[in-house]
Amino acid sequence: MAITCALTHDIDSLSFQDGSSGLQLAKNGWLPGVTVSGEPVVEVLRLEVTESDTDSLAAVLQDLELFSNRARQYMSGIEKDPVLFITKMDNETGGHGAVVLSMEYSYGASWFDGVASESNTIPINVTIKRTGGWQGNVHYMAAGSTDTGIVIRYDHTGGGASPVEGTLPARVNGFVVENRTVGETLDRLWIGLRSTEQHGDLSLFAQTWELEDGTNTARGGDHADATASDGNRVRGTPSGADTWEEVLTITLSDVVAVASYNANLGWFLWLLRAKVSGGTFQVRLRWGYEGLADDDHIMGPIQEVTNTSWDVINCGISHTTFLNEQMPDPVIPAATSVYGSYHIQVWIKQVGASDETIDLDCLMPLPIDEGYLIVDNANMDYEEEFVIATNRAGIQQAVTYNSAITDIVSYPDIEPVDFALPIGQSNMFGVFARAAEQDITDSIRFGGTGTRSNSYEQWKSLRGAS
Amino acid sequence: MLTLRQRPLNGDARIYTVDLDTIAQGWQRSTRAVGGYYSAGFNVNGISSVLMRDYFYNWIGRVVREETAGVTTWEGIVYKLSLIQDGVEHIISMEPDKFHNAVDVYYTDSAVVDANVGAMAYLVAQDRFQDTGQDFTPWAGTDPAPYRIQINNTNDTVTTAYIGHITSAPANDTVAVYTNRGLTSQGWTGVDPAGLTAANYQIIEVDAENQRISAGLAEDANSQAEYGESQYFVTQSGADSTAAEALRDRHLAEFAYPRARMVNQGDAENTLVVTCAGLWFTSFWRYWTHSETGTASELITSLTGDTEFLTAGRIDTNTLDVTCAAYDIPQRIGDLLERVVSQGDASGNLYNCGVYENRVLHYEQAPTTAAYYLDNGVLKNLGGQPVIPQMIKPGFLVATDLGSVLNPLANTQSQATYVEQVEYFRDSGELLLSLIDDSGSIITLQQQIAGNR
Repeated sequence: MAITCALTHDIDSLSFQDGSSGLQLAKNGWLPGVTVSGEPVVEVLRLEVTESDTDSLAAVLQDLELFSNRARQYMSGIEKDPVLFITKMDNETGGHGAVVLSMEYSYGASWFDGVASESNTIPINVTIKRTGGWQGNVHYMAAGSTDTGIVIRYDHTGGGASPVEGTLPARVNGFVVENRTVGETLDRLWIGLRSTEQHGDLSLFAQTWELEDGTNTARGGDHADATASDGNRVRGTPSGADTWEEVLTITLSDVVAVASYNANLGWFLWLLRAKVSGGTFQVRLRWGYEGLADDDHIMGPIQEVTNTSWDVINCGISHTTFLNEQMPDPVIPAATSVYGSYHIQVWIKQVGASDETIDLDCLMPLPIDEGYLIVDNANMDYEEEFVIATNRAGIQQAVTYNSAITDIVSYPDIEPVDFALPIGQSNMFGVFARAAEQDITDSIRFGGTGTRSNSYEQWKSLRGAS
Repeated sequence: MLTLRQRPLNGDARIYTVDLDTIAQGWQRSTRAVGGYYSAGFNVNGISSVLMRDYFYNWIGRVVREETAGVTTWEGIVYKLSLIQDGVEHIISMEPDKFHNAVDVYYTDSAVVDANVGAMAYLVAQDRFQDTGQDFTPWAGTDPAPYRIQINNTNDTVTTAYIGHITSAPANDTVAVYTNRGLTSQGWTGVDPAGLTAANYQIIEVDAENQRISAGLAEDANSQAEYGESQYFVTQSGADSTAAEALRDRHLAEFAYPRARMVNQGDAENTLVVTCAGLWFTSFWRYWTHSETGTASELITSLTGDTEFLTAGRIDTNTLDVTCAAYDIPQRIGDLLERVVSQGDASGNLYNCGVYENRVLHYEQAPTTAAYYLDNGVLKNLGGQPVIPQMIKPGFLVATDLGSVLNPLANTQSQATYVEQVEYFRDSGELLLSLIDDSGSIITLQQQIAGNR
């Protein structure tokens, strides 16, 4: 049975099997290592090299040294392509590669020792430290779902992507977002990670809090609006200038049923979709509970709103609901939880005298306690792709490519915090917006389309994903 | 997330060839209730000498921004760089005394219009003075006397008088002298000249004497287009316009651009020390040369409008009448802002004033109720949530006692302390609070949100 056993780097290869490199696996020269923990594996290969002069011997060993250097450079982030240790069984159509973390080699014996007829063959011991898992040469992150509107949820365990198993997080290499909005430029993106392990049934998580579901004060009024999420919004009308006034309160019980309360706990970055009719407004969220005095609420940052088209506004970070979830219900099950009275107040202030109003559409809680990514200046035109990747040195960078993936359009601003494919069964929750105006018909797609050279590691022993 | 960006006048684009978040070591920064984003610093080690030099020469004036969860939590400019290589330290700085591209010299005119020419003589009995080589015609005058004579005697004393009419036509070498400018009382002021001999004298224009005169602002437009305007006013006494202009031009030539200077030599390892300053400090780059009276809030707005990089944001109305006196001694706008803020209002309330995100200056009354408390060395909001250390801004009250049973007072303000500065240390996650009227500080440990599992 013939096998493939080689090192590859980009288009170069160093075969240990077919003799083309001058190196040949000795009989029983390699007993493959296995792992179930995902930890790196140290493989020891016994190779033989047969040459009749020192120069030729040096040339073979220089090739080995070259691949060793490339592996070291890849790990330090200088080299963009990894060195892969490729294996393929005779009856397999595709090979499997593991990233070489480091490689060393040494003489196994001297060619001045032994029988004269074999004096030109010397053993070389090669030690390869590789990643714990194997992967196919080509992977793609599935044809991700195309989501329209202002929020997106991506379940990387569905849509054709293979589930990530194991206890170690997989790393995103070349994670892609594509703009599917014809004729518009998408510029901002917020992605939060949320896992089933830590937050329960993700289908119960409410990505939007429609503010018309809350309770208005005298300063707020519900209106139908086809440009608003869910077709409705709340209009805030101040009584005068330069005075803070509450427009509405929305409680957790307004948004989800009691059985879903637990699935909506955590730390969130609260994004508000809003616009004004003119002038300048200031808006501020206050987090608290029914019965709490207004001034005892947790105050969010004051944000200025001057856009007359819908826009997404960062209204700060807060934890829902109690920091110690066990505190309010030590005995009573969550079904009768007081969590439902957790609420958010929306306060507004008109700056300077003018008869203007502010429209409030919805709040979008972005989960941030497991990791998140915030993108600005993505500058994605229709079918252009935003790509973020992490190198071995842990540096993350993003670019926006044109639709043909021949030019770099821009370098977006990114703030990744523990951003990687979530552990286990997890979702990515996202909010996206244009630079100047945010429209309910915008759409994006996670993962792009077709085959990509993206790959993500699966911490599974010898098996790859294809 | 730390990013390095273009200089304020060159747009806001991030410089993508520098991964500041990775290479900045020991990032720490402070924010003050008066000032806003105030100062910051970090070191760069472990990179090649070539790169270190490149950063040293090119980073000055560039924007450094810290972002947390998509919002700016600190922003300033690279204000000073210290490069230590091979034991030699060089610095580049944007402090006004080391960098200024708009210079003026204010000098005091000596107002001397003429001096002695020939043989001099006091005519004491007649209250007259003679210089046989002088024609006093241009200096003789009527009420009010336009000129005075200041005579230095051989015994190192000084005798002066106002010049009246000429008494020796057609020679015109003798004038009557008076003790007053109205020319009604003949005689001398200063030392009595009886028995004295004049060594020399100056004729001085009375109205021009001791006036502060501006040499005129000289500017380097290219430097201003790159870094912004940094004004510097020099004062010089007893000069004339020629000397003042020469001094001005020399200053401009030397300091118009931030320039590297060698300052020290030692055995320190190669490192680049970066010091940043909040945009608040650019308010010290310009002067007011006029005086203005108005309400405190009006003056805050007016002062902010005269800076180059700042805009007025939330300005609480404060009707306290304040005067900013900057004539005839120019004052830096930043100094005037601090003075207005320090006055508070008519009710004695404290005010916070600082430059924050988007280079906006906010001027607001300080809170009078505590919004935070300390719990086992952790700063928490009233909901019991640990604050996110990067996001806390100073100028708040922290409750130091939630209600001791020994204290019958229900007023929490008596048990709250005003925090005038917060410092954040990224590597350790520490938050340092500086309390008003207190020489000590409280060190508080916080945890970041993501990663807190």
